This record gives sequence, structure tokens and C-alpha cells, in this order.
Amino acid sequence: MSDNTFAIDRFEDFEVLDHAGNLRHLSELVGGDPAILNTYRGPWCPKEQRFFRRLIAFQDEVEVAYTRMLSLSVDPPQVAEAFRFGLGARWTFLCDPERIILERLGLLETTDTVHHPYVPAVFVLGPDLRVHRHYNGYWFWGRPTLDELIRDLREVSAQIRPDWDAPTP
Amino acid sequence: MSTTRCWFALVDHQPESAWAAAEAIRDDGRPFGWLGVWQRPGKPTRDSVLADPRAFDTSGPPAWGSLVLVAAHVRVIFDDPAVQRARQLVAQYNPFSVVTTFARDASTFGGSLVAARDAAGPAAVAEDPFWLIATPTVIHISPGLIGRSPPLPAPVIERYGGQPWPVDRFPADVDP
Repeated sequence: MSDNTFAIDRFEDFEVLDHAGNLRHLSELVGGDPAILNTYRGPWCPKEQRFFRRLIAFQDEVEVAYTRMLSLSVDPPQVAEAFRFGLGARWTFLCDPERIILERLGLLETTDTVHHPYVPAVFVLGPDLRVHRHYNGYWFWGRPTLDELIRDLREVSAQIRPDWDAPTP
Repeated sequence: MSTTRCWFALVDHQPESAWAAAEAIRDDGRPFGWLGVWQRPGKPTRDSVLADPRAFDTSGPPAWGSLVLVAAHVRVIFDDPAVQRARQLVAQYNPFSVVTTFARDASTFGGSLVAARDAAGPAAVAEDPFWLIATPTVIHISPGLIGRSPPLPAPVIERYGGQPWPVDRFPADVDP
């Protein structure tokens, strides 16, 4: 289920550290493919631990489907790297410990006055960083199922792949 | 000129025609040969393989590398589960400055190179995941060859239109 919670039509090409401490542009991480970008509270949240296991199950399909995955939080690289490694994730985790991107995107979860984290959300992007669909994951059932993500990625892929219609004789 | 593929070869002597080249020394100090990179349409040597050009830089510093070259009489396809698993392992943990696979043709895996720039010793490349396919040779690479790979197209392990992984765009998207 999608809603109108977030006022982001298109992501800016922000620059942020990845889990290994490298400075990365969003555009180089998305490349020419559809992408799933999820913002998350932190490894301490049971909902995130549960949802990431859903994404882990999905990466075996994504890795052969010319699609990028990105996860963004306020954790510093060493925390994000440990979380990523513990999960067995093979995609890029992004780190915004200074909350610079968080403020620009307006994605602060205001009810958590301890961690000041990103509000949980999932954005399905095109290669131009335009938001095709988003999901508000503040309540767990607002998060997308894998079937919903597949539908979204199919829609984006059909738009951007010139040979989406199989080249048959 | 393609920005998504170049030729790579191990040769006995300094290749004068190469765009970039560096001498390689085995970790026990014995000479290994010269690594050459060419940016040209045709194959520069009989055993040349296609590589990701973003791995190379003529102004690169010395580096330690782990090189897998599959013997010419052995055919390993990129879709082989061992080659796929090696790519998964790189995507999961990539401490290297440079990663490129080598393509003999649109479907055949020719080997791989991982390298660590300015590394203190060969331990920096000891965990080369491509050992799953063939025994790597650990080498010290002179300056003038090793660049810095851009981020992997994570978690994608498939090749974009038959190019060497981790080239991250289809040829038509960058070389129309």
C-alpha cells in the first residue's frame, strides 16, 4: 500500500558515506537500473531486524535482475558494516550520522527522541532518481511485501528497458 | 573507444603498445611478467582477455594483487556457480581497491584481478574469492596500472550485456 506521507518526488544526487567509509553519490550507486532505497531506524529495532530478513530473502532475486538495493540510516559506517555483515546483506548501506541528508529529505522520526533516526520507509526509484512508489513503514504493515516490490520493479523496468518486449522473430 | 571494456594480458616483456603496463613480481621475489592494458578494438595478443577499464590508471601507485588466469584449454562460463559465488562474496565483503573479472568472450570467464593499492603486504589480497575457480597468483604490481574501482552495482552479480563484471551499465547506455 502506498500513501502520500513523504513529499519526495525525486531524490537529489546526495553524497554520503557507505558502510566501508567511502564517499558515494546516490546516482553512481543507482547507475542505470531500478533501485530500492530503504531508510531504517537502526539495528536495535526489532521491526527493522524482521524487515531486513525479508530483504535478505529478496537479494537472491535482485542480484540477477539488474536492480540496485540501498539502505540508509544515521548509523556510522562501523555500525552499518557490522549490521550488514551480520545480516549477510550484499548491497550497499549508507551512513548519515550527522543527519544532513535526513534533514534535507525531511525523514526524521520525530517520536523517537533518543536515537533521532530515519523514519522507516521504502522508495522504489528509477535511474533518474525519480520516486516511482514509496511505502511508509512507521507501522510495520505499511512496509512493502516482496510481491509489491516485484510489481514496482517490473513497472520501472518496463519503462526504462527499451527491449522489455522480448525481441522475437 | 569503449568505456566499459579494455584488453588485459600477461606478457613476458614490457608491452610498448599498451595504454598502461606494470611489472609484476611474485610474492617470493621471482619475476612474474608484465601486465598490460590496451584500449583498442582488436585483440592485442592471442591470450588477451576483456577487463573493466575502470580498474586501471596510468598514474596508479604500487599495489599487491591476486591474479587468476584460467588456462586456455579450460573453459569456465560466467554462469558457473563457482564464478557466481565468487562475485557474491566480493559483493558481501570487498576490501580491495580494484576488482575486475576477465571475459574471453560473451560467456567465458577468463580470470580475475583483485588488488590493494599501497598495501603493506600480500595479506591485503589473501582473501581473493576467485580462488574458488583457480589458484590465484599473488603479485606485487609496479606503479602505473592499478586504479580504484567505483562502487559495485550491489547486489547485482550479473554481467551487463556480456561485459566483464563489475561493469555496471549496458553497452548501449554508455556507448550508443
